[in-house]
Amino acid sequence: MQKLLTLTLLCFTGMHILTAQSSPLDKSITMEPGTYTIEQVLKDISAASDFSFSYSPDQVPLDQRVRIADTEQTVAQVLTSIFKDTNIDYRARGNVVILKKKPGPKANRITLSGKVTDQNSGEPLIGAYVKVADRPYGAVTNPYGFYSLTIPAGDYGLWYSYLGYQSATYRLSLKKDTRLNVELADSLMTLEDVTVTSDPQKNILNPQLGVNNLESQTFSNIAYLFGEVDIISGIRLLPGVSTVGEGASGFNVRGGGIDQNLILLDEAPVYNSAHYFGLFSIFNPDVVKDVKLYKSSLPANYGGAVASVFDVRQKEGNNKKFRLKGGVGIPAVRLTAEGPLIKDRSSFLVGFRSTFVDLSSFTFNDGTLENSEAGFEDFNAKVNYSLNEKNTLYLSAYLGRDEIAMDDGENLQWGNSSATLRWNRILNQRLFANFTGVFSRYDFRVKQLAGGSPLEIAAKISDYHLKADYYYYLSPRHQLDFGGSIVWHDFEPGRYTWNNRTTELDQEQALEASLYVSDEFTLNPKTTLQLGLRYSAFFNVGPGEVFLYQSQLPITTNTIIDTVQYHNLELIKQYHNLEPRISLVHTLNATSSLKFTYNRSAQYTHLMSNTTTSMLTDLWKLSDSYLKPQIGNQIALGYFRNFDQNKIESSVELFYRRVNNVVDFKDGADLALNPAIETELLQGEGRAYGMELFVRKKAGRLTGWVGYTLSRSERRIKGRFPQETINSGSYYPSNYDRTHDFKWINSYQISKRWNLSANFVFSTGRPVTLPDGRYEFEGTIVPDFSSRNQQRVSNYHRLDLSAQLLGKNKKKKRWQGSLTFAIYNVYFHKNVFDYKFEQVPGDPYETRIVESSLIGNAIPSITYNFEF
Amino acid sequence: MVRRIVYLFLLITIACEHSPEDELPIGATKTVIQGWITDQPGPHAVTVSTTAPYNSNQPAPKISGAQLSIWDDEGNVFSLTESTEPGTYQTHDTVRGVIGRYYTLQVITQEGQRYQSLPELLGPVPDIESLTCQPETQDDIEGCMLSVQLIDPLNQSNQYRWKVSINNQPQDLPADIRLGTDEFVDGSQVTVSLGFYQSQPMDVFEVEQLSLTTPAYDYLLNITSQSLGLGTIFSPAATSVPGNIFNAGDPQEEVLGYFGASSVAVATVIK
Repeated sequence: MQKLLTLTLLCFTGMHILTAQSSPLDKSITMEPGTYTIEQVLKDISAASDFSFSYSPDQVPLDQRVRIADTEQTVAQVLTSIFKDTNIDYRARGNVVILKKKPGPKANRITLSGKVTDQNSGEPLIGAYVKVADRPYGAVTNPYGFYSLTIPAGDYGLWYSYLGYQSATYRLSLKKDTRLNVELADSLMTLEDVTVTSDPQKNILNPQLGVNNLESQTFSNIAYLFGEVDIISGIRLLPGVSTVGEGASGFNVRGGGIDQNLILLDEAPVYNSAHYFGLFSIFNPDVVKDVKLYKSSLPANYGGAVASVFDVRQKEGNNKKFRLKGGVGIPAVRLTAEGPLIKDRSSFLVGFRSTFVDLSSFTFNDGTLENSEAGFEDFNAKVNYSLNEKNTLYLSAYLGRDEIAMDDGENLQWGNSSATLRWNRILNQRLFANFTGVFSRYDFRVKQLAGGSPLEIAAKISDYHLKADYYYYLSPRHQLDFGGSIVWHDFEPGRYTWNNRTTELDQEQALEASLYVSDEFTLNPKTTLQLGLRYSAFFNVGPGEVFLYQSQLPITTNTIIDTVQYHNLELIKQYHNLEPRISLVHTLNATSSLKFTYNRSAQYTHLMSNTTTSMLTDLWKLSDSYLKPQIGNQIALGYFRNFDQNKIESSVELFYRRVNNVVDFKDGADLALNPAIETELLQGEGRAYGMELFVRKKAGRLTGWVGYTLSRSERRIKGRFPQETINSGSYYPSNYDRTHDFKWINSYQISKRWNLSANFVFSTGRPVTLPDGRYEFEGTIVPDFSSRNQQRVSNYHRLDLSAQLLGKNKKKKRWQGSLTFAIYNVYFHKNVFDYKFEQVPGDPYETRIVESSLIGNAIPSITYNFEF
Repeated sequence: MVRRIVYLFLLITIACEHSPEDELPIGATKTVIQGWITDQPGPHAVTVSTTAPYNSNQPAPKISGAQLSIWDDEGNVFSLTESTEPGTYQTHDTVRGVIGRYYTLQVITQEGQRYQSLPELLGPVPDIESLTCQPETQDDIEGCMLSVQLIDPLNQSNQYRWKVSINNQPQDLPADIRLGTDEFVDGSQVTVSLGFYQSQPMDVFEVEQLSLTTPAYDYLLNITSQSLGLGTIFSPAATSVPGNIFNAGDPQEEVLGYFGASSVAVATVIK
């Protein structure tokens, strides 16, 4: 803060006060015409009158010379004339005249804006850093590669950088608003020659906490099951992220359920991210450009999930030259083509992935899938077109399908499809807008025999989104984001056809609307605050039937007292929520900072699954008269510290999250095709807390990270009646509670051609419910369970290795091949997958518990990848 | 239903077996009451016992000396007497359930605890149209694929249970609890496969087709899913199977078991 000086000068000659009036500004003074400095004029006025000036000497150009023409003028006239070429404003308060800089837009500020892209492919770089040398100014590119920086006019050194790329520097004399599009060159292929600089303290300066940003290259340096690069398997290796086991779909973030993550593929929500029961995920690694996981700080433009947002962006397509990329692995073949359609205006990308062998033949090889065939396919496409410098259109689409066919005619199919149309518009140098329309669908179909005839069961959920997002670079200290969205949810929970007769469960429909505003505000050079507010509204509408239940009794099918019919679009139930989002960073010095975050978010869609992991037939349900939205509140505190010129990043984060209305199910709940599903639902409270340690080395021959999480995840279901209560209403560990979770991921570049990777993971076994009693029903021994999740399976640990051999890099050869050899579960550890409680054949009273593992030995694989 | 199909082929994986039985918890002892009344001639039996530790490998401890009676909604009371088998109580041979009536069981233990079941409707069951035994050899074992055909009554919810006996020997392993619902096939003529049974030529197969109320069907479905391959990450949360018995003096007490009522249709086939 600048100190205000008050100068009071009393006597001076050559000036007389002629009339005495109320305001000092109305007084007339006489001055000799001539040239004076501003300081002299002020001194003269003060000396000739009984008032003083108050100003900050470094704001007022005291040495500037001004001409005084008339001899007799009012003070106001003198001041107006002497300050006419400056941005100084004057104002009287009592006997003091205050001189201040004019508020509002400053005439001498300019805006520097543009796009940062990859030099080879023209892909926008998300989160690239723009820094002004020796000044506290900086900007980060948004998800479309756009940046904007408003700074005083002047000569500057500018530094553009992005992880894994060579940084670029410019010396510019900025006099007016300037557009500067910058291309950065990938430095991965030239590791030997160039020192790769990591982002300048981005992790230190960014107010967000609990955000992991991984580039697609990071994923390819990890060893995977069957060698298939998999984004979700990669994400599970981060601290705070876990899974209940191999063969489980999705992932758990900070003790949250898999349905508490919002998974976005080019802004389209993905309701089931699993291929083949979760051993693989729906993301073709060759088309993925950038992956961001928000575990704690949740920007206000995201909503609808209480645990995390997982934002996957597909590549835009190379706009410089035609490229082919692909590979052959054990489970799948991949081929991606990209290239320019119209030079510098339009480019495309098409990706295809398919299993070419029957997956069941080498996975569940115990005979259960012996006569079945299983496989999956993915199709990705993206095209963009620049209408002009300021308007660009993007269209992207995804289509994925899984199928399992069994020899007895049973057939299962499921998959996601989505399409995103985006219009990026640069409204002016500082205002950037993005309008998006999204369609997303998940559906499954099961065919089987029932009563001697084929039965087909099908269900689907569809979402239609319209969004507008604005990024307003108000000033170097303020970045304002605002916008809104409307989502139409259309869920068809079940339709079954038997003997040409079709029966359907009631469709569910809802409108979800939101508005948000967020300001990233630099309080002072050390402190940045991100303040956001999101308002969400949810309207469940007809047509539909809602059962009414006796209020004093448990909700069961026997306590239905009435049914209310709703017409098409008639309002059934509405919910409104305000969701504040706060993130704060305080830098301690150039290499360390403290961060704090608080966020609240509301979730209106819920996965109806009472299994430890979700199955493909588990459907999502919308909040309605009985199913209340889940509300999550999280606070987190973090300390971030970089070492060795920012090559090593480290952090400690503490978090506490509480979720109201988590969904659980009554004992023995039947969820499939149940028209009165509320009779099986329970809602309670979830809480999770813990500490995450993370050390990541981003540059050099050895890269990778070590993560450790100490945490607890619990829930409490305390209903009005014993049958609406779990574990007598006390807290119990959730299915995905892991006390200790350790991950060690690294990659070592031995030479230009050889790269070695190793991952080791260890975690406390997941909670499990073991029988604490038994009884008989006719000849059947029935296990009995008193309380949920009180025991644990044994600890999980595993080591995976992989080696990557790049083909010889000849300058003229465009074909670049590589081989990846991988071994999953190197030391044959039999991690417990499940327990079975069963009767021993031949003895009516003997029972046993059988522990089994999905993967009991080391699984080697070889994958060939190429780029052309 | 769909769920079961899906985990059928996920259940058994690359298994390596090891038993964690020494880590097993031992819960509080609960009272278990199981019984069923049908429209067939008696005796109809009810067993009263308690739970035992899971790895006890012994029959469940029985509760003897209790007073049992079955009531119907017309005020008739049938008392049961303990048979030579301790903890097993039977009605008189002449007691026979009547279609359309509600039945309630009452159990008073020696300690004076009074247990009661929720009233259970004895619903009608359609006849078995045909019972077929299709000879088949599976893994070098000779036997037959057994199936029944029935015509499901239209516009009402029907659930079924089929009990199979071979040469008067009831098949009562967990996998032998065969259940069906007309959820998808209401009002149709349906063929239900009861599965493969090992058998010799001239074996006599008897199939009883029982009507079930929706709660009874849910109960039996839970019993089968709880005793067949629970504990995988694809199975529902392992829980106590809620039944329809409660302690009239202490509704908070957790009581296990079910008292059901069914009408029965029978068919026989000789391989």
